[in-house]
Amino acid sequence: MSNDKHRAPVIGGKAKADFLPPRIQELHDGRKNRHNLAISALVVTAVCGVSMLFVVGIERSSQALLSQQQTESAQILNRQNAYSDMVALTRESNNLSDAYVVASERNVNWSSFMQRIEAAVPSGGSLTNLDMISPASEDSIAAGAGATALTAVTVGATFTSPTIAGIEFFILDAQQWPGYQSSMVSQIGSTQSGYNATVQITFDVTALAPGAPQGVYGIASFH
Amino acid sequence: MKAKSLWTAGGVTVILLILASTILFGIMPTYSMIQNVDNQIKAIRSENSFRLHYLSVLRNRAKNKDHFYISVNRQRLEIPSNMQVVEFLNELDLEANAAHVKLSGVQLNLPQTFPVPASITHSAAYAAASTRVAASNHLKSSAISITAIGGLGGIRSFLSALEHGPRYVRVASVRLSSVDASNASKGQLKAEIAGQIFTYEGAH
Repeated sequence: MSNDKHRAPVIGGKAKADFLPPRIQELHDGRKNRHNLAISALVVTAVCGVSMLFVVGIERSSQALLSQQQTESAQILNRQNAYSDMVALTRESNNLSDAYVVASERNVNWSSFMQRIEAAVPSGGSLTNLDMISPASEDSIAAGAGATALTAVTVGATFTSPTIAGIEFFILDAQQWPGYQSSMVSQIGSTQSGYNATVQITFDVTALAPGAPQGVYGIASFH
Repeated sequence: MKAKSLWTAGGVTVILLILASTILFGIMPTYSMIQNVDNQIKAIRSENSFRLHYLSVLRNRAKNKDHFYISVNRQRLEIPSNMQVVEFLNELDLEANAAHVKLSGVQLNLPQTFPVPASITHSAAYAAASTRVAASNHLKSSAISITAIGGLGGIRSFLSALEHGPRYVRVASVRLSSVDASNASKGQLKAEIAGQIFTYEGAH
């Protein structure tokens, strides 16, 4: 206020004076305020309306896209119907493939096992007894420390050898076979022609030859 | 409180109410509906691409129909829908003759429902297949035991023929022993083979 007193009058300025009584001024202010509030409410309502229209528009376009995808799906199914015989065969093939995979998980290639054993028998000796055992398909195998610690195949071979070294070589040979786990000589006896030995060898799951899926696979969800 | 302040408070409240009701009752439910529809679209799209892939597989199969029939027939022979005892015995006989071994005994048990065991190889293929097989309950197994007499090479050939024959035979154990003292010197061995054959009912 003190600044206003010392301020010089502005040249060309217009003198303003409000002679309305304060009651009327108050009414004016109130009307202006109400006016502003009404405009604000209208603007907010308009913004809300536009937002709603925008969101509803997006929803409509999504619905349209959904119905387009559903139509496409129905068309694909219709086209599939033309191959109904193939569908049935594919289903059968998949079922049989599943059955084979389950039935052959503990498959062992015994003939190649026998071939290895035959080859490991020392020259001059012969195989007299052989026990090769794997767990039946439906048996649970007692878990060891881990999956590979399971004994999947047990081989008990009785053979004759002209020398002790021949028996050692047999075991050394077995140690090279896939899945070899452990070996134990349960008995060595001398005979007229040399020695008779019984060796127990165990193999882990890597000695197994499980069957692979057959037929049409990779489309499992259409089972 | 002054009338002007009351009006201002009322006006602001009305504006807030308009905003809140638009968001709560208009935008949010519509947005959640959009999300829902978009999820459906995604699911149908992925299903459709899968179906299209399947359709292309079917088209290719249809082009090579004969080849596919042969392949499925091979699977049917491996695991037939019934025991097919006569065919199996005939197959054993042929394989034994080819390997120069003599079949001295064959024992076949009645098929039993195959209890799907826990996996020991932990393969993804087994995990997927075992779930479906366990659910369908169609896989049956019959215990078999075969006794054959022959030389070591012959028995190995017979075993190989069993493993690679048209019918899938899961050999669980093989026991070789000398026939007797006199025959052992001639290299004659008795092989006792135990295992299973399988049937799958209702593969279609």
